[in-house]
Amino acid sequence: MTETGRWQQLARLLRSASEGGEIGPGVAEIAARFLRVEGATVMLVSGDLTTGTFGTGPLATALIDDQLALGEGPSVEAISSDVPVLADDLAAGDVIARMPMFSATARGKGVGAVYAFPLRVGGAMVGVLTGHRSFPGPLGPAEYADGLIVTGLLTLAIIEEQANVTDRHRDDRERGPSVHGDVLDDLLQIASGMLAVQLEIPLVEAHVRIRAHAFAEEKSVCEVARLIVARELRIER
Amino acid sequence: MSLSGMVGDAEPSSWHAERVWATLSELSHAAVRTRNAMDLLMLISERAVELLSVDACGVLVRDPSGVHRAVAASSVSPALLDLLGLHATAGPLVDTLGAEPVDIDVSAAEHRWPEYARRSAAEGFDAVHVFPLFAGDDAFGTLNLFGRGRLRPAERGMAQALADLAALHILRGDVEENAVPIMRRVHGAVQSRATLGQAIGVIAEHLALDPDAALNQLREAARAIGAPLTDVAASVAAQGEILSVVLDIAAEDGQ
Repeated sequence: MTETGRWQQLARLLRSASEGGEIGPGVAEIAARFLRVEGATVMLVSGDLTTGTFGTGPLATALIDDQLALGEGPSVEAISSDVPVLADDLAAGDVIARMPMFSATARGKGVGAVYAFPLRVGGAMVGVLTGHRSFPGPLGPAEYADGLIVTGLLTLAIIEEQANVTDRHRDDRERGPSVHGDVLDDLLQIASGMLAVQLEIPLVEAHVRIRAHAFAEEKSVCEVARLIVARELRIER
Repeated sequence: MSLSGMVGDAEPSSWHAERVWATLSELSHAAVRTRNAMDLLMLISERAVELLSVDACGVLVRDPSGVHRAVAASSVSPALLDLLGLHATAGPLVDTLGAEPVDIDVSAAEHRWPEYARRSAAEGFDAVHVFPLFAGDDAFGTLNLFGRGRLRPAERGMAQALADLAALHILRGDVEENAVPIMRRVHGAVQSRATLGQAIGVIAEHLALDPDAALNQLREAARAIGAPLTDVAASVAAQGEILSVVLDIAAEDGQ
């Protein structure tokens, strides 16, 4: 299957799993399937807080609870990382050194590897996707690539949910050819930075506001971003 | 100011040759010491426009969905950003991307890519030169040079050297055995690009500047502080401590 075909298949699956517009356990199950892991969670993040965690089962959720309680672990590190944080082997020396308490706790629960993918748009952090396996080992190139695809789609879905963009049955083609949709558009980032300063709000909220405005005005996000950067549009509180 | 404006059509002078050598040294030094690919790619994009008779440069990489997106460019003017986007999605890049560098005559592309041709003309470009970045058999990205007319042979060599430096940095020896580190570095560059955009927006709003001027303030601050552009951008985007430093430096410049 071509790269394009694969992400569209995944997009369809994610959309039907989040019918009703909510990110829930169904989404975590699909993510787990694509990462080829035994369990997965989607942890939503807002600023310094986690605002919800959805998982495939109690072990997956417990791994997140443990990391948050201990303040260490791949998912915790992923919150401030641009790239995935992969603890391929929880018994490896360097992993034990970085996360001594969590690696012991997780191994005690029969977990051999934990992989955490940040869900973010540059400085705008919205969540972490975490997968685990009972056996250690690295993610292969296909799994890693699928992980990046899942994170791209999930990031967009979370942002759309916050923006109350509810038209989930929109044609895939409208998203454009990329898994990220328009989330990574250059002008959108510049506009987000500007709006964050103008309204004194976090970057995520600025991005969400732009998206909500575009949806309400039936314009594309990129168009609204261009107008903001050209100072032809100012979004008020 | 573009160096090419001074050299014109004459053979490279010895002064120009010194400048080329100094730039290659600078970039090789950066390639070895830079941790974030985007920092090096931004530097390459800047220097390409200074050294070659081109007006703009953009480095595109292929994301996991197969789409090529810009991770570095010589300018963040909205017009160039739009053109880079078109180049990748509704322009000649996909048709022409292969193992060898390609020179594209934009006016010849007019029938197939009319919007692309129109925007290129509006920016004053009639040619784009595409240099693939390779891992094994796979072009994971491209160095794209936009300008007027053809590249001279010496310039082609220089452009290829810049593309090779970019590719070498991202690959760092991981050519075929394991694609994961390459994907990681490319993804990191894509995220850093987004963070840079956000930082540009923060500065643009604070100082009432356009995106390019805001980017220049970030670059100046990075040089003054001695920190990588990506680190400065990350802190500014988060409106952290470095933001006030950047604003102070800009105030000293009379911004």
